[in-house]
Amino acid sequence: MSDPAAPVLEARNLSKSYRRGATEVRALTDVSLTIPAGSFILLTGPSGSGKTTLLALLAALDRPSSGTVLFAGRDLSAHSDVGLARVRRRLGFIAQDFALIPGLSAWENVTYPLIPRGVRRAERRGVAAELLTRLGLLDRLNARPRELSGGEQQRVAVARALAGRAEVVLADEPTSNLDEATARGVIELLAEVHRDGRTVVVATHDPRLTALATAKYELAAGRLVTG
Amino acid sequence: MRTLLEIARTGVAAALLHPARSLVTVAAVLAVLLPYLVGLGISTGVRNAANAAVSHGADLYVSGEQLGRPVPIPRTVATEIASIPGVERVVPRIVGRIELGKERVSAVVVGVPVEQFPAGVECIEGRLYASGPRNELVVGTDLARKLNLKVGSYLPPFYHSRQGERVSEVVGIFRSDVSPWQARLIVTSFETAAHIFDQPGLATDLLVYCRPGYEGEVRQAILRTTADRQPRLRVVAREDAAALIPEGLRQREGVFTLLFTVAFAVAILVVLVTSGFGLAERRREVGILKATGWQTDELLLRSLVESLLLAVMAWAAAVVLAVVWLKAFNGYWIAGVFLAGVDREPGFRVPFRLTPVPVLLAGLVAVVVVAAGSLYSTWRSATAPPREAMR
Repeated sequence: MSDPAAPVLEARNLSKSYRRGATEVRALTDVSLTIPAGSFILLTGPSGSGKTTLLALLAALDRPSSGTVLFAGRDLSAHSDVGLARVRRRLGFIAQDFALIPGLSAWENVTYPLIPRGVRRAERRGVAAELLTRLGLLDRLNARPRELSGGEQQRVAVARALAGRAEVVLADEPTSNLDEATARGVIELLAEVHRDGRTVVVATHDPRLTALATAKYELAAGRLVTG
Repeated sequence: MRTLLEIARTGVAAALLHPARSLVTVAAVLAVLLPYLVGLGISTGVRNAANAAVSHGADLYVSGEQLGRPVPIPRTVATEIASIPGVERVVPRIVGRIELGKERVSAVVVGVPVEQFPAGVECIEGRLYASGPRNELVVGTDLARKLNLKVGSYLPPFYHSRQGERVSEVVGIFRSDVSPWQARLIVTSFETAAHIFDQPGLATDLLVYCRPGYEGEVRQAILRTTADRQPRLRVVAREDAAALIPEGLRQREGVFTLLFTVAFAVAILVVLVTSGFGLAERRREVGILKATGWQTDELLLRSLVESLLLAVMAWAAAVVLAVVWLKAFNGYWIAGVFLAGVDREPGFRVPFRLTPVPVLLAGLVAVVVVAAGSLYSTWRSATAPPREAMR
């Protein structure tokens, strides 16, 4: 586990812009923040404020237009493909659209990231069964994503992020598609991950998560307005 | 190692994850491999059949040559050659192409003395032709069927000769489904052939049969005794004739290889397109795996295994279908592509032999075609930022 005093993730003057036809869209402008190890960070702000973009940059899923992201003190842009893959294995990302592979069953979706890490099939199935049981999906182990409801798919995505025992869990609106009871279950799971000493970064509108947060950053029009 | 095997297993699963794409890819590769295997199978079969025919033929073939072109030679040369020590017998022969009927069906007329009627040709109906210029013909079953000829049928004059034109009579029918050489064959007397081609006293070539061990000496003697003769004589030994067969076939194979190279290039493009069949989904899948910690080389290994599986499936299907096409369907349609003048439904047993080299080469081609297509698209997706690929 990381040293609680040291920042596990750090964003320095991050900017990200996209081309949409002839126009350039600035999704993030000069964002700097520090995420200490073991913290529970909330990223809030209205839709289109840049929360998802910031989360993707922190999760090493995208490259910034300018600025740097440091994971465990090392600039992500300095990593090779292999180095970046190793970083991503230490990060668990829960996408807003779940990002499940349609042809794979729930348990396979949860444990596919463990295959390159050399985890045996039987062990992988055990990990998936344990996580999906805790998320109330034991009877859906072999279901394909199309056979699952939105909430169930969300829970499979959560289970996948937790399966590799990531040091940092980054979640994009993890409770947005869930009913009250399931959302509470996911919040409790994230709280448990945090209690376990791991870092949690959540982009959300959900006020129920505020109570768990050790720090909160608010974004508006791609800029950090409070934090 | 275990990890690599686990990743390889996901490649096998990937082929089943996208059944439509897998089917289209296999079909595209099959469309290239099948004609390739069939073509080379026929080519090898024809070469073997030609070699067998030559090995049962004469020891020496004597023909005329003037200004580098083949010309007929006087029949009297046969008598001169027959007197050379070591010569057992000399058979004068006339060979020429004609066209028959309204549909201008091409046929090859061979005029040989009746006592030299080809041993491998089996007359199943009627009788052999009589000696002399009687215009009696023995035709193959395939030609007879095509032109609706029976024993006793008369053919109106189909040639122009300075000695007048005559009606020809079909006196016998032989089995022509034995080899490709007999499919369009008409055998007649030497004199009738000379009349048909308006070349009295001339022969296209002479078949010289020698006593064992005398071939070289006889060849030298023929060239020596006829050195000042016009046209100049060309003597081809059986071995030389056999050596000429691959040359002719290689020309055909060369054209075939050229066509196949074009098809190969097209196939890579087709597989690139089929790799794009469900590309968005596939690209997203690669993005998701990258986002969850897969490396580019691991994704390429997964894609390679998937490609190998699809290539092996296409290859196996191509080999099985090639054998079925040529054995069970006797090269229906495809034989006509590789053998000049052969109908859609060949009237003879199409010679066919699949040797290990082209079969293995086809496997290699399948792997290259599929891997080139799918590895490229995987690499492109894997080297993009995962968020971009997941969109």
